[in-house]
Amino acid sequence: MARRTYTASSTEKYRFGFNTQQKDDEIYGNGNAMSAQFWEYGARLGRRWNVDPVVKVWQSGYSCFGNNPIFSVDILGNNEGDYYSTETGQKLGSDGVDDGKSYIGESLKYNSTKDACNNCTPESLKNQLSSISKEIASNQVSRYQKTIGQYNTLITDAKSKGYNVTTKLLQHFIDGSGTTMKISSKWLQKNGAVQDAEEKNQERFEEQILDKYESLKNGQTFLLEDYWDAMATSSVFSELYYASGTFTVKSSASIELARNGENVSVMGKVTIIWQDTYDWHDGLSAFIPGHGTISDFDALFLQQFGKAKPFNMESSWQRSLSGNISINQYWLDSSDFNWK
Amino acid sequence: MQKNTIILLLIFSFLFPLCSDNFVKFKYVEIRNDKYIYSKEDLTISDIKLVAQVLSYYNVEYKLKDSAIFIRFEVYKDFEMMYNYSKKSHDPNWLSSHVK
Repeated sequence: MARRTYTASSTEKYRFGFNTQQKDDEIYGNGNAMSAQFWEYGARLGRRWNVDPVVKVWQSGYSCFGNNPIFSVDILGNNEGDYYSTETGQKLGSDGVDDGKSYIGESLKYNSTKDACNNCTPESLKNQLSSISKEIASNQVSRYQKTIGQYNTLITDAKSKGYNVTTKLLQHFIDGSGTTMKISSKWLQKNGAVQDAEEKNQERFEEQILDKYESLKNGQTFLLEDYWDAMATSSVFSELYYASGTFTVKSSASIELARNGENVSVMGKVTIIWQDTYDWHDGLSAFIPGHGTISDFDALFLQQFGKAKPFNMESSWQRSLSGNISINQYWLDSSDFNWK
Repeated sequence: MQKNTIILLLIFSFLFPLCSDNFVKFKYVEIRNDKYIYSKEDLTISDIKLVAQVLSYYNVEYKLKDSAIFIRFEVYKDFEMMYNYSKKSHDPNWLSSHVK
């Protein structure tokens, strides 16, 4: 309905919309395109993109829901009709045609029979679904055991290679407490990507100082209080790549500039906060030497069916800044900054 | 502005007298899945005022036109700076203590 939309508190996490299908918001904007198993659906026109491979002579090859999206449901995008819940056996919707045909949506991929069955009743469907549910549950248990086994092997292997931080973090993820993990600041400061991000922020503060000092009159002081964020990705050859990957470094400064004659002294402190969330993104994967390509989907599976839980990682440290700017009346000014 | 910068600017202004770049509409930048992305949402009038305050503080050139704020493409394409400007324009503490 025009101008009526639902915005979840975390829209990133809620991907589904009309007819329970996954939204493809990148195409036409929020809620205007959906993906089902058999179609890509344009919600504004109410039409599928591809021609329906099943010819229905009484309607267009691009029509959906029998042109009745309010009355019908079509979970897979292949056939509108009477639908029943895969969990409760309750009727979800109808095509309004009293033809005795019923559908159970996605669960039918586990059934060798056709999408439609004649003389199906909610009771018979419920029994059928019960056996399908058991089969699905059994598949999930074996998959869970296989995945958790793979992750335990990863932990053992990382430990043997001396990747202590990676080991600790992966174990914390699987244990599922979700509590924030403090990462050693000394360990982080040795990483090149962390150093680069920190230096990028330092340069931003230095630029601000150089923009400001000339406006100071003799005897005047100025307190620069500001912060900068820099995002960085660690090298694939460092342990941090497997522990975090991409992270943010936030530097908050409190720096005093004081002009005394032709000299401007610079003194201050900067607090650096390193942070990242230990989480996984559907569709991504990482190559781990000795283990091949590990899909993020496996970790998401452990989250969904096990107790694994994402968590925040953080660390902080301080730097002090001292420096001096010499003002030359006849030549270029010189500046010197020392970060410790 | 520092003298060094002025001298460099003078040199470049002689070498490239016609150097200029276009103004583009300011968009918020946010982090999603460890990547910077431009927000799809348009800025409201009150958003524009806050963004203008941040840009003024950092001496970033901007133009106000047709209920939108425009900045140079050179600034616009720097995702990280745009993210920092966006973040500060949403930070009431920063806004209250950084008025030019």
